[in-house]
Amino acid sequence: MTDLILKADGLKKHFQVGGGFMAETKTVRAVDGVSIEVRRGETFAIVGESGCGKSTLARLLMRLLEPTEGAIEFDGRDIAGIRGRDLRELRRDMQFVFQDPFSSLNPRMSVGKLVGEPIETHRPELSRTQRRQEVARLLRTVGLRPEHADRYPHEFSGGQRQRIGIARALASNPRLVIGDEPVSALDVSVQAQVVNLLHDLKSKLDMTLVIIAHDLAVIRHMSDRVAVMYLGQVVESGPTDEIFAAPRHPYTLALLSAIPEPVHGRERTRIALSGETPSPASPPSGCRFHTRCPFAREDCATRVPELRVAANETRVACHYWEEIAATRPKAGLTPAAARSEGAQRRFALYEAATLRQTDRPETASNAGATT
Amino acid sequence: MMAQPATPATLKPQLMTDPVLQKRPENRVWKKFRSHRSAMLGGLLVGLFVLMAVFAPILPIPDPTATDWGAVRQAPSAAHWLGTDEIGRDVLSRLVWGAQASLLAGVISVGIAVAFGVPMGILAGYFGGWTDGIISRCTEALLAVPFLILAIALAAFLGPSLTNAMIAIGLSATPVFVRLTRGQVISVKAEDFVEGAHAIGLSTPKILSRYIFPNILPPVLVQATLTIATAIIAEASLSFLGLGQQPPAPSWGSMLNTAKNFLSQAPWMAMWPGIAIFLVVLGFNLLGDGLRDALDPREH
Ligand SMILES: Nc1ncnc2c1ncn2[C@@H]1O[C@H](COP(=O)(O)OP(=O)(O)O)[C@@H](O)[C@H]1O
Ligand code: SF4
Ligand SMILES: [Mg+2]
Repeated sequence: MTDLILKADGLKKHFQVGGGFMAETKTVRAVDGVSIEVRRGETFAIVGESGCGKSTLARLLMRLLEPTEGAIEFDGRDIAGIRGRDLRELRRDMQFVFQDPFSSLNPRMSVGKLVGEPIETHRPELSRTQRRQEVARLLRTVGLRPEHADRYPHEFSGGQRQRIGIARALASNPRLVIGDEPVSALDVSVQAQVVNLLHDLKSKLDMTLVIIAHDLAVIRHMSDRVAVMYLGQVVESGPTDEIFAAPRHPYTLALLSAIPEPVHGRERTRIALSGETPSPASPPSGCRFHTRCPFAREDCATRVPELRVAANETRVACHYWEEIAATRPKAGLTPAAARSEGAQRRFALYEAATLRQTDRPETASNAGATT
Repeated sequence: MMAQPATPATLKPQLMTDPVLQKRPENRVWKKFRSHRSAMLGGLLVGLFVLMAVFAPILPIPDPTATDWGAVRQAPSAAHWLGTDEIGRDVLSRLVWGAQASLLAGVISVGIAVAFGVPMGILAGYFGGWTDGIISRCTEALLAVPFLILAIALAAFLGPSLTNAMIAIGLSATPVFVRLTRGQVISVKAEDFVEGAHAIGLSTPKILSRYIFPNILPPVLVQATLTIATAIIAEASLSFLGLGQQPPAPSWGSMLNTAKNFLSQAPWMAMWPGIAIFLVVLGFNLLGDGLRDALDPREH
């Protein structure tokens, strides 16, 4: 059961910025020592505020960026520095869904070409006709029509474009798909549909999914495990249910507080974050969260907390999580059992959307919502 | 928001109201261009001159080099619609044949500039580093010299002939295209969809040909159209200076050159080529502006 498909060890990506005439070069520590392990077949979520380095991490994992330091293993093989054939195989096996469906599709290529391109690249043995059939099948899989193949991206709504992006990502039969906030640019009404689509496809196609989000709400119902990031580092990781039930790191508490979801009869500690997120170019000393942490103590500014095992599978990077947990009422949400009315309604909507999209694409439905 | 289950009965009408499939596959660029009045005027002007140049050999006009000493510097009349020049040649005929020289000079020299400039710009913009360093320094050096001065210097160096004038104009217009292409490539390269192409595992030549080139083409096309106008003026200027089309072959520039000596006695000799240059340059400029609007996929 601990079969890992993707493993990152001490990954760092530092960008050098500035350094023009009379300007000082600054080092942006976008990703600063991240280790994660993604298991085969699971949905792994990476969550954190905007700017904490999620996209950079995703690009490192995809080898779209070269790490400054650290190692990445895919399927037990070190993928740092691979080229040629090996890199092509990696591109086939690991795919990416972009955040912005408006900028991530070449505006001058038809949908058929966009979706057919990975097939052409990775399955060159297929004939033109076979490729067209495959494109039609993929379009149907993501809830579009085969006739859409002749159209151009600008003719579609955001949700539909993201479906095109997903079809393109699936075209090479990848084993792992990384979605970088795949729904955050979409209308709220469409988000659930796309999330559900990804979730469905993941189980149907026997893939592993790494999903990135800036809040916990989106990933709650679809991810098995989650890593919470703050300023380029993982501050807490573990099974999603566990994190929701018993969040330990103050930052995770704060993220959970942001979800409007009162628990039955139990008052939840609300933690509002004060102050700006510090710049990754000059991260605070000691615990990076100390400038905003309501529980910070004096030595937090000097001692760096390591990720350490908190419960069987959860790891937390905070010196004082035990004491913090002891001083407050159980803060988390008990999964499913204590689901509030609002959550219940949302969940029903998610499920309804799943049912709908199998035989009816959102084309018709979101026409009313977006135009 | 639609809660009813999707039965075949409810699916049918939705198919027909599919906002994507409903749209007829009409060419969007052409449609936008057509609704652009000044662009259509530009296209019309350019089209007219192109027809004139193409059909010059079969039009019922006299030989443009045939002299008639009995009809020297005659004002426009029924026999010579636009008058005659200082050695009795038909101005209309010379104007029509001159269109050939002008358009050819415009198109070929811009073709040369595009053929050199665009690949250089792509190399510089896409690969950066020392490739960019070398190409950009050379471009800047060339750009420091005014276009026409450079063309004159090159034409004088290569020797006076229409072909050399075209080469000179083409070379001096090259930096404009290197620069434009380089800038466009740098901005297109940073687009998400190019990263998407890398993520797919596409090879560099395919990324260049499918992702970079088609996306930089529209501004290059617009610039090319506008530069044709400049090139036509440059050709006329070179011919005016005797560095372009050589007599007795007609060209608007050389017609102006001779006409300047007879401005008071035979003003039509200068007027017609002047008007022709003005109209064709206007035409290409309007066409370029119209293309710019029509090719922009964002605005509707
Ligand atoms: N190419 C780059 N050059 C310089 N800084 C960058 C670059 N890409 C990202 N950054 C910086 O790295 C930090 C993390 O960015 P990103 O990974 O996009 O965060 P997220 O996806 O979590 O919003 C930000 O401060 C961002 O400005
Ligand atoms: S180590 Fe200190 S500052 Fe950091 S999260 Fe824990 S209590 Fe807060
Ligand atoms: Mg991001």
